[in-house]
Amino acid sequence: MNAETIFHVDHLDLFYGDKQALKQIKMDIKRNKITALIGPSGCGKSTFLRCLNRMNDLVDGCKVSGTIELDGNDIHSTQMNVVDLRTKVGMVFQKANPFPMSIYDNIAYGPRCQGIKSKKILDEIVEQSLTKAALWEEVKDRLQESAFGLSGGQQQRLCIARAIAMEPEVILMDEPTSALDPISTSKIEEMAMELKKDYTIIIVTHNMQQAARVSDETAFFLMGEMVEFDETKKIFQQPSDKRTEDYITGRFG
Amino acid sequence: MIRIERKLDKMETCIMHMSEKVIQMHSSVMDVLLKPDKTKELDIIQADDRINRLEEEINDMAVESLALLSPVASDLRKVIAAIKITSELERIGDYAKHIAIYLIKHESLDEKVRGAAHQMEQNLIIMLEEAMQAYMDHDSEKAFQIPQRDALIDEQYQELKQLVKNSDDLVDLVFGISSMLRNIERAGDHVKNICEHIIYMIKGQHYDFG
Repeated sequence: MNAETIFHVDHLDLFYGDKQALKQIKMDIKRNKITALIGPSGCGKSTFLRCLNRMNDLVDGCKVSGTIELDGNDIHSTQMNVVDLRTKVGMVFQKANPFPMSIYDNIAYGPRCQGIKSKKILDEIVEQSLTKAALWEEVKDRLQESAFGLSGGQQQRLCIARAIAMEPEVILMDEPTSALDPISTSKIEEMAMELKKDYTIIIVTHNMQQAARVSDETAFFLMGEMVEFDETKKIFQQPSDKRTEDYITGRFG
Repeated sequence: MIRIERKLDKMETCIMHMSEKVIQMHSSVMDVLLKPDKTKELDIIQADDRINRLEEEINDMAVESLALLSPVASDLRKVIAAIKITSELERIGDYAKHIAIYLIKHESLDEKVRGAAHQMEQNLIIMLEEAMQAYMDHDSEKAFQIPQRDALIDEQYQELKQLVKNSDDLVDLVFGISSMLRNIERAGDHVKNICEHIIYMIKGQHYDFG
């Protein structure tokens, strides 16, 4: 595994009961890049994303085998603390899910759980996280107001800021803009391009143009298999596999 | 058939229609080389306007499909190839017009020159027809072979230039005749470019026939 690889995945199989959802996935995901996972519904892309911070552990009857290494460490080893893993590998979901508390407390919640009590440090974390998520200017005067008062796009950026507050290495995004209008989508895309300087981003998207616009590398999944994984410009100009071509050009899926 | 396929099909049909018009212009050039005919020569000049309009129409269709349908991969390459091939065809049409203008001004052009230019035109038309067939059939193998014929046109052009230079009767006209013949030679180069665009469209690879 070379230094630019953050996630090394090899021979990854995943079963939900008897149903195999991922088949022999092999991928090296690069550090400080945006990797997009695309494919039709049920292809395994979200399942794969959830493997990367062991969110599938919470699913009954889910069996995972194979290797997933984060910075060279097996995430399934007994030494790996799942809470630490999820701190390093944050996640943002399709639907924004702010906590029922103020904007400030949403961001400060994680750091407080980690034992940070100093108001000064928490203030700094809140400001930095909201700034990185391109939300600070819009909310700096109403930090104590409920997060539910924010628009959908702002709530999603708040969730991203909340993930950033934990100083993760990787941010997983599961269709983060599918419920947002084009302006909010554009803000999140711009923000993701900025964030990749400090973090690695892995994004599941149904919006092919979004994958083309924001990602450096794209993986195409189909029926639990990873069909093709290459530079995004290669995938969208000259994919190697006919199935990738058929999917991205809208012939099926 | 999905929307982008219908759009690409329509664009392909328009390009084939445009190429037929360009081929017709050069066929008329062949006719007037053998038998001067002012009406036909003027028709060639007029036909060029229609070619220019067709180029604009096809470009508009390409831009519309880029704006509305976001084509990717082979679809995107087809749109790019359409824009480029259309532009080559427009230039090939221009060359027919330039020859017609020359012939109107030089009715008494030497028979030998007319005959040799006619042969060059014949090769050009075969080359263009084959290229457009390769475009329609998405046949990259054929697109690789067609440029060989351009070498023949270049050879005929060089021979003819030499003949004009060495002929006492024609030496005064050497510049004009060479320029007229160069139109055919350049049109051949544009057909070669069309073959490069076809290869890019099919294989996604850039190829330079020189």
